[in-house]
Amino acid sequence: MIEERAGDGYDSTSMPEIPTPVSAVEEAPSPSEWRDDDICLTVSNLCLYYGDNEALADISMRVARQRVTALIGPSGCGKSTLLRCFNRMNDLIDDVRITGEIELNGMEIHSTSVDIAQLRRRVGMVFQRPNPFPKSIYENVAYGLRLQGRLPKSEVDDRVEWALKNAALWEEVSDRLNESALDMSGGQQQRLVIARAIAVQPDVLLLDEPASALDPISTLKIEELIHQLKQDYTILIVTHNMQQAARVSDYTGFLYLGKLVEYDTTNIIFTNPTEKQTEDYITGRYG
Amino acid sequence: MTAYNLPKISNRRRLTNTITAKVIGAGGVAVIAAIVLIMGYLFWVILPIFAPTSIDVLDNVSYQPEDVLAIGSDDSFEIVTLVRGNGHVEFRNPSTFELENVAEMSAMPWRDAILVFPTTDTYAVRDTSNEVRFFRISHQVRYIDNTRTLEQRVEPVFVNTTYQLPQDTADFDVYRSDEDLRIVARRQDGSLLLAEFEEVDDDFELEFPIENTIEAPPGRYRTLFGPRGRFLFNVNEQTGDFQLILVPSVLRPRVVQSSSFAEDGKAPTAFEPLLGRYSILVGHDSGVVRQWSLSPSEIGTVFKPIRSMDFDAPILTLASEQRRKGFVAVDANNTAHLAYTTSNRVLTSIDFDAMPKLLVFSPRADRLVTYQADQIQTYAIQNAHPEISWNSLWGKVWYEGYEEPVFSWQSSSADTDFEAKFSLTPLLFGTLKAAFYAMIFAIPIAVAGAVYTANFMSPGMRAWVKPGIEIMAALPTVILGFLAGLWLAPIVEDHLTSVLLCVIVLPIGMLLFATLWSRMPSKVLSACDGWFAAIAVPVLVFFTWITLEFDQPLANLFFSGDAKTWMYEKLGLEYDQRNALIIGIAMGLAVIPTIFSIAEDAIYGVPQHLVHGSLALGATRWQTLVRVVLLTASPGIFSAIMIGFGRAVGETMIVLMATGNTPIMDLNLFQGMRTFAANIAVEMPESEANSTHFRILFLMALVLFFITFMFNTVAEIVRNRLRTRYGNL
Repeated sequence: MIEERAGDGYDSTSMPEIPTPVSAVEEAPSPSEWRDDDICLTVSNLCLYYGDNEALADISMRVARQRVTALIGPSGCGKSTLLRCFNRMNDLIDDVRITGEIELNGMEIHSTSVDIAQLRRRVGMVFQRPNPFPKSIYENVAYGLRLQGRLPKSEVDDRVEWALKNAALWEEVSDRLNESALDMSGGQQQRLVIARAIAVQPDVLLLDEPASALDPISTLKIEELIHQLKQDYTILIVTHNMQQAARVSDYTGFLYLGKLVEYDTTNIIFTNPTEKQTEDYITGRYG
Repeated sequence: MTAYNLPKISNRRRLTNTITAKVIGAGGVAVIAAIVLIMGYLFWVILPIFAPTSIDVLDNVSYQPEDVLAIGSDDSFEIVTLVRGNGHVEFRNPSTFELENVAEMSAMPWRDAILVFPTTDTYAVRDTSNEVRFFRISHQVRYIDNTRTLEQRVEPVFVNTTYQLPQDTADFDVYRSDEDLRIVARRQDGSLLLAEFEEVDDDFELEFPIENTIEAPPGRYRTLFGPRGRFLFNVNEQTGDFQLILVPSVLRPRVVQSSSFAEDGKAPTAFEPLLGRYSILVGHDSGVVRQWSLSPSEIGTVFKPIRSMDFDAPILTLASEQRRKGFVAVDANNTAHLAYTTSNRVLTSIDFDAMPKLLVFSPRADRLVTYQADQIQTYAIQNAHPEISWNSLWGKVWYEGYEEPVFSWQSSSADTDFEAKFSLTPLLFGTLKAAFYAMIFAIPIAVAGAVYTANFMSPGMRAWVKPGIEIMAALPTVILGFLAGLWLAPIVEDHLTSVLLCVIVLPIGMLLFATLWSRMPSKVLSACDGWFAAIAVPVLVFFTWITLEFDQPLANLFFSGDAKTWMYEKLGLEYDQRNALIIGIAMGLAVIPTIFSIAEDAIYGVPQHLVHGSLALGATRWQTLVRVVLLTASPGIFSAIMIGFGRAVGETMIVLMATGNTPIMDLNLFQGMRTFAANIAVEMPESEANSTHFRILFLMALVLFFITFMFNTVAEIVRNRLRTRYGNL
């Protein structure tokens, strides 16, 4: 049992340390100052069509490694669609056509040699609504691990505990791992889903409005969690909540009508945007 | 503080509200009432089965003459007939015992009067000169000026011809079939004189008989003809020894069994053949009544003890019913016990005043007449359904003429002396067997089809396929049954090898085709994504056709020429044309739409966010399907299967038309069966209202109802548990 194992024999060296919180105001370098190995994702001339409707128009951007990048914009601007491009979730929608390129660590993700399941394992995703499986808490977290093949029980136990600790959920659920995940509160469920996503140790974590369905306290917990996670993961977050974007992210992109209007450090976007549209949105003129 | 008043609801809204609530409420109550009424009616019809048996004294009259030879009555016990030793036949009112009519048949006194076996109206009487003559008593209802009168007639048979028995005849018996008349006379030295008149007719004189003498031991024997006159029972009343003599023809009698009815060396105390004389009841000093039945054995048909019933005191007199296999046993304390053989039930008892000299049931067994020295008593019997007991409905019963106890359903026969076999077990077995094979066929196809349609099929194709299959559910099952029985069954019989091989060939062929298909250029693949099923159907048809076409070569290859013969010789499996395989396919087809539709809804209803959650973790489509979709849809799939099973259990027309309706208990795929539903449909129209058979059919309906009720309840409980586990989504 995990509870018994927790004290002894738990080998933390094989996994990333639980990161210590860093201050949000830590200065992020401007995108123009990035070195090549700072870059995790590169988007070039990405266009996406739903049937004949152009949902994303010629988007080019780069995403920095182990930073939090927020995508903001009014409803329907294409920010979620863009997010879903990174793990090719848009493939599940009929009638979607994509042109342009996305490179993950230098690998073109649309290439035919890419196994889509493996891509999604490297690029984890958390959705707006908590979506735990109708299984136990333990089985939810172990789900992603087991997809890769059989693992020894002890290893699964360790990884589940590690993921739950990193998702700041371990304290709350360590004594009821075998209870149904559906009995948890909404905030716990969302952290469970994050634990599930990080259990497979992806490179990139996509968060699609992860706190929009949660109460303020749960939202705060998720935001703290994002702070911790960026030590190890490249995080992309879509949010409606501009305060949230300002609080958690290092870089922010503003999308409007399928175009990437402006992309810079969060500091600049929120204090000194170049584009008028960005400023209007930030100041609440529309959206 | 001012009072706060809510605005009043408008009258119109309130009226609508009230009316809607009333209408919906009334609808709900009507549904429940209808179900309760159906249940109530079923119970009401079945209830008399459990009514207790009773016997009560009805009338008791003094009757001085001591020369009554035989007592009879008409069907409805409106007239009692007494055959007296003075050559008179008296007709008397059964309650007042007033003489209503008398026929003076002979001036010469009669010694014996016996009923000619197996008739119930023709008597053979022997007078003091040992001449035997025959007459028939008939009762006719006439309406004269709209008043009902019962007219009695005594008609001589064979135009008063007589047969002269030897002067030293101790005992005699007469058998009559449509053509032949057989007479046996036992003489003082024990030998039996057999006489046969061939091609006899009531309205013509008897001609010359064929006669033959059979040597038999001397002693106080009783000699009786057995079933169809082909047997002679010769029973020693003092020792219980008996000979069973087979008489295929008068000239070639053969003793097939010489044994004894004695118990622990003690002679029996009473004998009585049951209706049809397939068995003899033997009463013993120990209070046991044992039923010995003619049963098949290695040496031919012999008497075997098939059941015994225990009473308290020595059994001295036995009398059997005229139309059923019931009897009354009177013990040494003059207590009469009513009992029934098939159901092995002792029903009730009553104390007689004295040991009766004659003891006769009325034809309907609702009256019992006893005659002793100076008294005639009548008893009223309420005993409508003695054939039913828990064991006779569900257990193995040793029926007359059977080698061993069996489960058997055989509710009627051409013979009037037949023992009805009301075991529900073979029908329950048949019901479950038919449903089982149908489910084996239907579940994989329906569930796999639902999985494919919900998960892999293109939405365009799904829009056609789903309603298409659902419409199949509306196909009248009589058409399916008709096609299965008259079209499919002969095809399957002619192409048995191919049909069996299809189980292997089709999946392999499909896999082969799928493998080849996946090698197609990706452009073709992506263009046909979700339409694979449409491409696969012609391939399946092609493989089926190929397999059917090569039936003979395949049969030569695998089954040395003929699958049926091979199975019979190697595996001992018999083949019925209409069998469980046909039912599996036909009824499977009938339940597939039900299972498919509900299961597809359940699978399709699995929330997309769960599917996406799984895919986003790097699960393949297949992993997502197995680990998330099917798990989440499991309550729905389970309930789809249970509803399908409920339908298969209750399905009537298909099983009626394509099972052969043989109520046998054999799991063999190639044998037929009879189900509850089919049995009710077949037999209800021809069962006599309020008879035991009729009520058992209703009982069967109730059992069927309980089975489906039980399955649905269990299904609902399991489904709810699964739902609370996998629900709240």
